[in-house]
Amino acid sequence: MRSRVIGVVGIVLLLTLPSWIGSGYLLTLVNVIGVNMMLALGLLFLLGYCGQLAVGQAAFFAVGAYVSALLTTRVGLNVWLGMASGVAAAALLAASVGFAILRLRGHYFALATLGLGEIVVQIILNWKEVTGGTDGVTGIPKPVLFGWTLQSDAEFYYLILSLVGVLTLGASRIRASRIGRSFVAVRSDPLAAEVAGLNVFRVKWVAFVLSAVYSGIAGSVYAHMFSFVSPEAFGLIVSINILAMVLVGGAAQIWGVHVGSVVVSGLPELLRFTREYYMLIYGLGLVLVVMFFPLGLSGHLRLRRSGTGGTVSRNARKFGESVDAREQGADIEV
Amino acid sequence: MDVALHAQLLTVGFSVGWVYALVALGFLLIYNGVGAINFAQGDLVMIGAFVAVTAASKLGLSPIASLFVVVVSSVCIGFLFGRIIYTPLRDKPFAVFIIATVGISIFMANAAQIIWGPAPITMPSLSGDRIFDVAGAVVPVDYVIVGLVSIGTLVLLYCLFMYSFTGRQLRAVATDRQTAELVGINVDVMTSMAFVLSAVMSGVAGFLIAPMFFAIPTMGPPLGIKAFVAIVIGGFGNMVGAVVGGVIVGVLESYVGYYISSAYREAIIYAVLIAVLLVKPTGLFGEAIEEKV
Repeated sequence: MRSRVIGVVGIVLLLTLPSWIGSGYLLTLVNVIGVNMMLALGLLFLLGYCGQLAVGQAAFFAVGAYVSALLTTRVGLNVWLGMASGVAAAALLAASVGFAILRLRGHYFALATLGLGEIVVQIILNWKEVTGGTDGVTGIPKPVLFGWTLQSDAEFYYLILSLVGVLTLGASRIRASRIGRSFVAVRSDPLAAEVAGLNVFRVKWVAFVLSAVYSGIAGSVYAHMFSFVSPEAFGLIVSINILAMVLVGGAAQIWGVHVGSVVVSGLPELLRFTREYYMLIYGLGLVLVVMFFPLGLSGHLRLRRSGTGGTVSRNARKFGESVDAREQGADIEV
Repeated sequence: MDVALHAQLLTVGFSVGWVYALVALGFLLIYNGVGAINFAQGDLVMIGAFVAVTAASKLGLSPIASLFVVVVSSVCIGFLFGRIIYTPLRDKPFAVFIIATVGISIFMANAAQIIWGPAPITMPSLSGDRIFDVAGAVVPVDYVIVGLVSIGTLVLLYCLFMYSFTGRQLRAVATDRQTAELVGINVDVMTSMAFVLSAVMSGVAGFLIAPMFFAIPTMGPPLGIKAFVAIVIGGFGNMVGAVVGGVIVGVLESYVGYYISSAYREAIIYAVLIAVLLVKPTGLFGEAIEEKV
């Protein structure tokens, strides 16, 4: 009952958010956090559930953004079709590249994804005739919904809110499904999973493509929200930020990545007074998080709850997973 | 004309390649000792380059004295790096160490930016900007000096690893940690030693790179990745392979920059990395690494 009340209050707060925080910079920040949540959810499949350390998520983010931006500005495609093409392109990239690099494990996979991210940025930077190079793409049109153009940050807020909602629900459904359980099987012990009859390569491939779809959606929304894309928004640091979101939040609970996104995206604003020292603090913070909270916020919360004899979360029971919190919390560990 | 061109491309490629080899060897030393990739390897080179530039141009030291300063500072950084980053994470999965080094890489790059500013800094030429002009091939003397110093350092390291007692102990720990411990090798000391040596190699590489390129806070990660490409080409875990791989990357870069496009140089090196991983994951000299790939 109490949790239901909290849930209703939470939903009401979320739905009325633009009216009480105004339409200033804060709302833009909230929207950016929403986009980051989609990116973090994408990496959750790959790193959190499947245990594959990927350091190139920005590649799919960039492809989603640029394909949609270019098709709608240069070709004049309908915005929704453009966004769909962006997502499709990201998925296609993952599907084909995945065939190759998912055969690699551990460090090799991490480095290959890092290479992928850098290649995409280099192509965007240097293929000036198409991508505009460092100038980026400007004047990206806004989407029109039933004759109503989504123009303001508040309108985008509701688009992003509903997308995050749908994608979160989707992720938790997938996690609870057969393929979701095979993700975790591959993470805990690839060999045992193989012996049990899972096609480990295919399971990883599905996780990889799913993560690209989520990142592609994030990218296409990002492009039309700001009406501008440039290569700086898709560098290595973006991939590292996405990684940090999943690490900070932990993969034990799906809300972990949401909290992680809020923390990683909001921190620069809170610590603005530190100016040029911010990145210094950020780098150090990343080290401290993996040293002292390797399970992320959600993992440690769950660990504490079960440690003090509290109930195991509803999700855990629903998924029929091991009650051992350490096992649960170990979600992030590769 | 053609001969001159190739002579020029090769000299430049080899000089840069020997430096990459040095970085790759430092990278490999930590990998062998710890079993995890150090994402901050390139940043150790960056710090070395900045220390060298500061010693040479701000303090006005001679190249030899600057090199000495670089080595001493690298010893300290390497020791701290091992103690602060690696020791607490010893029993954690490799991903934790990787992410911690990513954090340290961000930290070092931004610390360098605060100390030395974001703009590239140049180092005074080692040879007073002299050039060799052999049958039309124009090669800066600096490049030749850099190549020779790198080769000298590599030979020194080879002797250290192959013939000294410490070298044997280091190799034993790299081959099998547990057995090494069983036969009485102090594994902790050897791990610290690996970090110190690795930092020194990187620092020296930074000292050598500074006269050829600029020192800039963001130069670390690309260098680290090139070192990794070199290691993959050479066959993971193989020291001779890492050196050969480094030289290949240097020469490749020099030729790609001339014949294809210097803008796509980095992208092509990454593509080579992925291609080698796919086609021949054991590299040129590698043994079977089934469990790693």
